[in-house]
Amino acid sequence: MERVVNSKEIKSILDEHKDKMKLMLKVCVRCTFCAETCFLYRSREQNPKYMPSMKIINSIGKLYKKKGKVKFEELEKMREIVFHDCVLCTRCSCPMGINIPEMIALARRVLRSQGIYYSYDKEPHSIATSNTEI
Amino acid sequence: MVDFITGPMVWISCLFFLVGTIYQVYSIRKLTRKVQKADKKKVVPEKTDFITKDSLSFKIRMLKYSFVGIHREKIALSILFHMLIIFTPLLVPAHNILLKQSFGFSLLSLPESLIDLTTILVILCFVVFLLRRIFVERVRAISSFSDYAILIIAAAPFVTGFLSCQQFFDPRTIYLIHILTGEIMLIALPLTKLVHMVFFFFGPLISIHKQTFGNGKEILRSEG
Amino acid sequence: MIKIQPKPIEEITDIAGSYKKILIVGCGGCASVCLGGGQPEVDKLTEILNLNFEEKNAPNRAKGCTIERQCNKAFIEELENKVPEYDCVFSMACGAGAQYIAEVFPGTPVFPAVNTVSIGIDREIGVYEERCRACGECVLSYTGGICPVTRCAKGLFNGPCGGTNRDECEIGRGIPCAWLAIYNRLKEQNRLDDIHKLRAPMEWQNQTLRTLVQEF
Repeated sequence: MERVVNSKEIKSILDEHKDKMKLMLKVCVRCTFCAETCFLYRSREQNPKYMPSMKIINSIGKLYKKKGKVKFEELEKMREIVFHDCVLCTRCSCPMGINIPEMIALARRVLRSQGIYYSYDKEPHSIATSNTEI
Repeated sequence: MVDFITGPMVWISCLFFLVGTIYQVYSIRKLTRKVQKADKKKVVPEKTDFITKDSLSFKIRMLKYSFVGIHREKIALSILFHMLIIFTPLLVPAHNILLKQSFGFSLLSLPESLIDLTTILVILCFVVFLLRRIFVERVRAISSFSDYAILIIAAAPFVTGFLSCQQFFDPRTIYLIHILTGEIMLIALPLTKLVHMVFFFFGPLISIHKQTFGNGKEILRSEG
Repeated sequence: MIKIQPKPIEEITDIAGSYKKILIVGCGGCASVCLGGGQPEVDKLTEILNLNFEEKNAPNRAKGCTIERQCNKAFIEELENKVPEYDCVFSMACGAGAQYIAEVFPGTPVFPAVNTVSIGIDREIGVYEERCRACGECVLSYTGGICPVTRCAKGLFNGPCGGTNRDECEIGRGIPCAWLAIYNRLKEQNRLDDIHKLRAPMEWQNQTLRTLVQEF
């Protein structure tokens, strides 16, 4: 059964942080300098999916672009990004001063509002699969 | 049409650029707030031990982990490029002649041959950035249409300016295109990613992080 | 979260001296958040050790890597192929993480490169204050949300000792009296009755608030 996404709820959460989110997404100049500050990027074969910028573009960036009108499958994909590919160690940094951890935390908040989160009891930490695909 | 591009459109784009930039500065300032820094001396009863080694050789070794150390060449290229892209248009003799004619003042003019050189350098930088965007995996992975568009919008005035200066093709048409693309760039500045021109002086300078320059006295507000 | 602090370099070099190949393992969890044992600190320690060895012309070499969390076996398994290649492992996670690595790789000596300090809050980047000592018997509901175990030097459960010096603890150093703070907060919330509810005593030694400043 397809689960329904409450776009209105997502939008209201996004609207709370709209100005800041807009600015942060806008000033990302895609320089990829943040990559080396992510230890997952460094220790997992420099897979671009671990780049902090890529994580925010594909999670909160997508939510913002579509104004919350996303399909459930897309949210599932974002769940992988913000709960699995990011551990929120808060050590990434951006030469433009974008607060990447805050953006990831916001994406997590949106996902939690839709009942999407990481169930540590049910899911084994599948590192093997996380290494392969981009 | 020609009259519009060379007349009112110039004013519109300049005004748009000024107002837009001021608005962006205002909106960034609106998002920040001052924070009270913790008094480190007060909260720490005793001096604690850390792994510290202040020798010069160690600092040099640690450089390879710093932002500058990892991206030396890229940062050097970036600084060169941004300096050139800002100052070249201001120092072009032709621009200054126009300024003199309209407003009665002019900025410093560099010799024509030097400007040609810097323009070629800027265009080369654009080519390098474009190739990097296409062929470097990590950059390609996060590039979208807008990134290419911005690159082209920013590059167009330089390319057409160079062509018009060298009298290639139909000089009159190229000249018009040069003005038009310049106006488009001015309008795009406050609206698009190019706003990093403004944000750079506010974001990294105030946000608290060890790899930015901020002193942490102000932070971007968490709410709204 | 758990707050950790790097050990003095002398102690680490002393332990590391007799091992040729050293693996330094960072942790992307709490240790990383408090600037104590994430990738940047692993890099730093690796370089310090290697520099020390090079200065002494010793053949020992250190190498660093960071895993997601050291308190979970699934993440420790990332090290499966690496650890056997090394003579010893330095863990930059909390005591729990170091012990789990030692348990997963019983054949390799595992040493802590950090001291686990406290469970605390982030006052700001680099300044961390202790708030919980994991005593296992939380009394916060009776003490107005101020922990007497952590914030009273004597860890008193039932009211202040006689040594309160104005607002300060008798051990000095500008530490406020926890029980005065508890009284003030309960009074503000009209809950002073709670202070009369006696709790069974626990045995604690003199302990002060373990606040931490990481230089970065």
